Amino acid sequence: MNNLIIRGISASGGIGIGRIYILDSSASEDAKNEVTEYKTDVELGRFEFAIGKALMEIYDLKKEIKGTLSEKDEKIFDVYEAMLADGFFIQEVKDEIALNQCSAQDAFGKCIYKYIKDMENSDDEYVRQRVHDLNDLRDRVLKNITGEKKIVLDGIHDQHIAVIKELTPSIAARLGKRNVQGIVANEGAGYLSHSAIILRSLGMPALNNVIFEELVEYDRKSAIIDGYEGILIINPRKSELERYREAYHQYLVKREGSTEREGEHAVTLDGYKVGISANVSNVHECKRARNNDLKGIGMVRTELLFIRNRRMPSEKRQSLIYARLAKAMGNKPIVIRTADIGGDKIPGDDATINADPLLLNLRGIKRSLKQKDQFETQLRSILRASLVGDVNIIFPMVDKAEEVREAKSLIEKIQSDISKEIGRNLRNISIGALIETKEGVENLDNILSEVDFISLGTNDLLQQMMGVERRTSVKEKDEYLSPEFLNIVQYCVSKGKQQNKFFAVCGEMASDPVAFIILLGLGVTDFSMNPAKSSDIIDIIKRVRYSEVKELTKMVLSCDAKEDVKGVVQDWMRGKGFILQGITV
Amino acid sequence: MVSVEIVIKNSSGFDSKSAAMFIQKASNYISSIWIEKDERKANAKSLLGLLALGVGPGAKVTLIANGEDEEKAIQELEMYINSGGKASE
Repeated sequence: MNNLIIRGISASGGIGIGRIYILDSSASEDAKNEVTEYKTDVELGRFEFAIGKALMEIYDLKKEIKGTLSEKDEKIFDVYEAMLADGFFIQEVKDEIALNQCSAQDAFGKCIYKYIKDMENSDDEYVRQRVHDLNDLRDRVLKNITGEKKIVLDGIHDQHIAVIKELTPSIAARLGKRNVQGIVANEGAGYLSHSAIILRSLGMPALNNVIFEELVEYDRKSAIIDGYEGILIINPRKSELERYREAYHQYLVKREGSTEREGEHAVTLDGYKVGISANVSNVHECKRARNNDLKGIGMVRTELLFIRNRRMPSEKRQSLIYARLAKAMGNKPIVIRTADIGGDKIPGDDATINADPLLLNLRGIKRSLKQKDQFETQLRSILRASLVGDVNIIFPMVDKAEEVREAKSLIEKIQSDISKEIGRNLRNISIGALIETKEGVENLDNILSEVDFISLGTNDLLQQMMGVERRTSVKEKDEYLSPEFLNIVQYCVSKGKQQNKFFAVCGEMASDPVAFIILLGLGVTDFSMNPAKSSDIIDIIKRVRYSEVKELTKMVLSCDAKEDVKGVVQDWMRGKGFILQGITV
Repeated sequence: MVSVEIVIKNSSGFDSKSAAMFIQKASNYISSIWIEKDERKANAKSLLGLLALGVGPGAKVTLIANGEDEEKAIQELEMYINSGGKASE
C-alpha cells in the first residue's frame, strides 16, 4: 500500500478523513438521441420544455440549500435563472432548430458552445471561472432534453472524499448537503468559482487542479484531505492519521461552534483573531453587516444620516435613528462618530458656514466644540441610544488631548442629567478619537491617555501626511503603501500598544488586500471597512498564517519604495494561491 | 446610430450581477444596444453575450445604440455606467 501525497490548489480550507470516492464524469457527455423523423415543432417543444424544467430544478435547488449558504452565495443560482432567461440566446437556439433542421440538443449545444469558447479564451480570470457555471447549466439543459439521468450521487456519504473531474456549483451544493469529508476536483474549483465560494461558506475542504485520471486507481482507498495545505494524503501512515485526527477535531469544533458563519472574529490559520467591523451610513448597511456576522460597526457616519437636511435634526429624531442602528446590531458594539462637518462635507443648507468666518476652516471635533448646542444635542441623542445597545462614541479629526477633555466634560454633564431624568445610571460608554491629522499623530501619547480607544483614519491622514488629494486617481490612492506612510502607521500602532488601548484602522487602506496584509503584520487587530469588502478580507485572514504575515511585513518595512512594497506582497500572495484580479490597485 | 466610448469604473467590471442590472436597463429601450470591446461586439441585452465579452474593471468599451430612442438610450446608459452602476439604487 503506497503512501502518497498529491498536491492541488486549495479552494477551501478544512480537514477531512475518509475514503476516496471517484465520481463518474461520463454523464457530461451528450447522449446520442435517436431521431427517427425530424419535426421542427417537436424539437422546439423539447427545447422549451428542457429550459422550463431547468428553471424549476434551479428553483428547487435554491430551496434545498436555503439557509445552508449565505444570502450572497445563494444569489449564484439567481444568475443561472437570468442566463436561462436570456431572450436572445433562447431565440438563437430556436432559429438554429428551425433554420438548420437541428435537433434540440444539437442546436442548444452548438449555440452555448460559442459563448463557452469565448469565455474560456478571456484574459479575465473571473470570466474564465464562469465557464464552469455555463457548463453546469449546459449539462442540466441537455440532460433535460435527452432525458438522461443526473450524475449519480446515490452511493456517496459523509465518510467519503469525493473526487471529480469537473466540479460544478450544483454538484458542490449537493455534495455539501451530503456532508462529504471533502472534494478533490480537476477543474471547476478555482478560487473565484461559485463552487469554491459555496464550499468555503460550508467550511468544506476542497482542492482544485488535481489530475483526475491519476486518482481513479485509488477509488475506495483511505485518505486525508487537508484543504489548508492543499494536499490529499492517500493511504496515510499511522502517524499522519494521528496528527490529523487532532487537527480534524479542532476543525470540527471551529466549524460547528460558530453558529454564525464568519463569527465575531475571523481567525488566521494559526489562531490569530482579527476583528472586522463595518463603516456604515444607514440602518440598511447595519443590517448588511449583521448578516455577514461582522464584529460590529466600527463607525457610523452621522453627518451622512442628515446630509439632506437643512440642519442637524432634533434630539428626538436623532435618538430614534441611533437607537434603531443600535437595535439593528443586537448586542454587537457600534461606534458612532460625531458629525464630521467641514472641508468637503457640508450639510444641505448650513447657513452658519457662510455667516461665521471663524468656522470656515474648522472641521470635526473642533467645529463641534464651537457649535456647542448642536454638539450637545447629538451627544444627548447618542447617550439615550446607549440605553438600547452597546453604543460608543468617537470624535473625528482629533488634534489635541484638550479637545477630547472638553468633549468628555460635556458628556459627563449630559450623563448625569439623563441619569437623573430616568432614575438610573447610564452605562459607561467608551470614548474614542479618530487620528487623521498630522497634529493628531504628534499628540498621540496625550490623546491616548484621554480615550478608551483610537481609530486611524487613513484616508484623511494620507492626504495630510503625503499631500494626496481625497478625490484622486486610482494610481495615487495607494500611496498608503509607501514606506513613509507605513512607518507612520507602525508608530501609531506601537503607541497604542504601549498604552494598552484598543486600536483600529479604517479607511480605504483597511480593505485593500495588499495593505491589509501589511497592517495585519504590523500588529493591527481590528479593522473597519465598507461591509461589501469584508468577505474578501475575511477570506484572506482565514487563508494565512499570522507568523508568516509578520515575517512578510518585516521584509516590507525594509523596502525603499512603494512599488517594491507592492511587488513583495503581491508575489507572496500569488505564492499562496491568491488571485490578484482587480482587487488590488 | 450613435456611439460613445466609456470606461467601466465599477470595481468588479461587468460581473454577473452588474451585467444583469445593466441588461435590465438596456432592455427598456427600443433601439438595439451593443457593447464593443476591442474587435468584438456583444448584444447588450443578452446576459450570455455580455459575460462572454468579458468586461473587467477599467475596461474601455464602446456603447452603440441604433433605433428610435438611440440618443436617450446612449445618454442614460452612459450616465448609469459612469456612476458606477449606482444610478438606480
